[in-house]
Amino acid sequence: MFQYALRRLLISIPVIALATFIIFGAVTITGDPLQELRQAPNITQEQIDQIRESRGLDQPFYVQYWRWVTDIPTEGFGDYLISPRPIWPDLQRVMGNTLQLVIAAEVLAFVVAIALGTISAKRQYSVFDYATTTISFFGYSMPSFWFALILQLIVVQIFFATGVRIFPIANLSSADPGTGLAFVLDRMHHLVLPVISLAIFSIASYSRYMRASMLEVINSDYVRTARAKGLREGKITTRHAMRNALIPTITVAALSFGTLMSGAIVIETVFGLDGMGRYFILQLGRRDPYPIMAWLTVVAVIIVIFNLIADLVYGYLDPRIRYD
Amino acid sequence: MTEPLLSIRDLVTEFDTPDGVVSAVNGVSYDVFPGETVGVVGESGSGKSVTVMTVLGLISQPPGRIAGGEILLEGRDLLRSSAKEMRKVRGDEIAMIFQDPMTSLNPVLTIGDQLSEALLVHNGMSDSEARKRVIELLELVGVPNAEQRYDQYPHEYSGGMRQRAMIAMAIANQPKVLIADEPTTALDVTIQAQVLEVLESAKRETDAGTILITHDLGLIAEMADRVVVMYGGKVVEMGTVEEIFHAPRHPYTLGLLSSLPRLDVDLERLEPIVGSPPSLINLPPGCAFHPRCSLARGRERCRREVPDLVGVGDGHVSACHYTDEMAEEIRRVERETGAAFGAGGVA
Repeated sequence: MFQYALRRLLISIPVIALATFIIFGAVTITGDPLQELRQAPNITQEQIDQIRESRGLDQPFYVQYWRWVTDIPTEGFGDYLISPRPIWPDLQRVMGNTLQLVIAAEVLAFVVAIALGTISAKRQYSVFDYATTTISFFGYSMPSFWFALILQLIVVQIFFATGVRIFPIANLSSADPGTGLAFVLDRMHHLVLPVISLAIFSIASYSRYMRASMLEVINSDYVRTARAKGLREGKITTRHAMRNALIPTITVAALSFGTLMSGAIVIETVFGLDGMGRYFILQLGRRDPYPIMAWLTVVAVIIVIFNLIADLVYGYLDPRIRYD
Repeated sequence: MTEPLLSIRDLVTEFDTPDGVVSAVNGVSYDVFPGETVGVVGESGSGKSVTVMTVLGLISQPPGRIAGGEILLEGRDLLRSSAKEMRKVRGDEIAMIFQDPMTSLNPVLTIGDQLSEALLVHNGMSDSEARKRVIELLELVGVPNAEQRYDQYPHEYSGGMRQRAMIAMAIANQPKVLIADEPTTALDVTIQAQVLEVLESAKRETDAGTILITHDLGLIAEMADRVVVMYGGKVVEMGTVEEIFHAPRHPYTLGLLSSLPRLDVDLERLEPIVGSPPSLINLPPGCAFHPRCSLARGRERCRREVPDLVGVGDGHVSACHYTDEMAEEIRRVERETGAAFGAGGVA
């Protein structure tokens, strides 16, 4: 298992290296970063020349790339193009906020989907099964911002009707969030609606995978063997069936983590959260390539890390994979 | 005569399918006595597996339905037992060895875990006691290095080793009845012989009454004391292994025997049973075998009347209207194929 983990970890290094190259290349060909500055009336040609010099923009592409990529470990992602502020502290802040949202949504989606999928499969063609598959089809079809707006609407209507604010519909924290546990509870309270709206799509998708793989496993020979041993039905389901059925579901969940990250961009905008999505859109408007490249690199690393975690869980669940 | 250990009486198991009701088991009765091996033979779809699945309560309902009959284990009717009581029977009093050891073991649990689970569920052993007992069992069925093999997964076992592990699992709780459903079909011939040996010793170890389901008549000849021949969800002939092999009294049994290649007799040709097994949704009227029967010769009675199982000797029964013509039929087959059944014994 240790060897397997180490091998997986080593494979991610070239993946990230390649990702940085593609990111740099793709952002660079979108245009001259100085163009925006040239149009600005209060910036002189000297200042522009100085920026070009200091950023190495007069150098060939590969030199620029090498400079940028080798500076990442020592200087974070450097400063913004115009203002001499470092990018990394901003990125760190929004990344923390987004990860709270996305991880909470992923965990919620996974737990709920496993339960729904398992029960659906155990009671195939029951009312519960039909209801779940129909509702999940709906959840799969509707965009997440629609659910976000509907949830906001419901909460607002409840407030109008009863005067109770069940959940905040915007921001990450109250004006005065407090510290310690009070801060954490306040944050969780604020994240309820965003997490639910973000998780609905994933619940719908994962539960269908879980149901399908559970149905396959329930009718397998080894589940029959388990039954012939005289095990309880609950134990047959959890110990023999679910463990096998989780393997394909985990793959899907890990691969969809990127989708969840992009879903977060929309959700953060709807709920006005200070996360990576909002940050990205803001920087895109400023035409500053450096925070964009930094952002893309961070997302690439996050996705690689989650794939790594999925691989490890996969290896834990399926002994046949560990030793290949 | 001693009391039977397991007694299946007029069992009817049906399945609802979109095409109609499949009568997989259609009034099957047979007994298993302590220590004996009953061989059950028949083509695919003859109901031999469904019968034992019903005994173990492994038929999923729906689509399955047990429409009638009794299954008596030492006088207790299993069909009237609660789910909880059946759980206690399964794996403890009646254990089963499945056909395909490749798919019958859970790929994500160690062999040791899966075997000790069978022990832990039925008796209050501690984990370390169970481990010790499982290692003993693995040694008993001839798994080398049982201590290390305990912690390995099924994919680290060969097919023969997996089937040994399955046998060990089945005999873990010293069952009264051991059911082996085509235990060697998925294995190659040399491994088959080894596994059969293990099965024999496992049987001796537990002194269980054994039901051996197979379509391999060679296996029956070697292992069984008595033989049940099934066709179209019914028992068509039942007798001792000598009676069935040397003096079959049902044309289907004779057909099975004369389509069997043999090393001991110089056969001129094999005689197949013409046609294909009957559809269980639409069984032929009268005797289900009549469209394929060499003895029916278009006779009206075969098409009209369902033959009852009638005694043709001490404990030897056959469901054919014309059992008295069987001696002549055997001689005909012997003449045509060069087979020798030793039919002098047929009355």
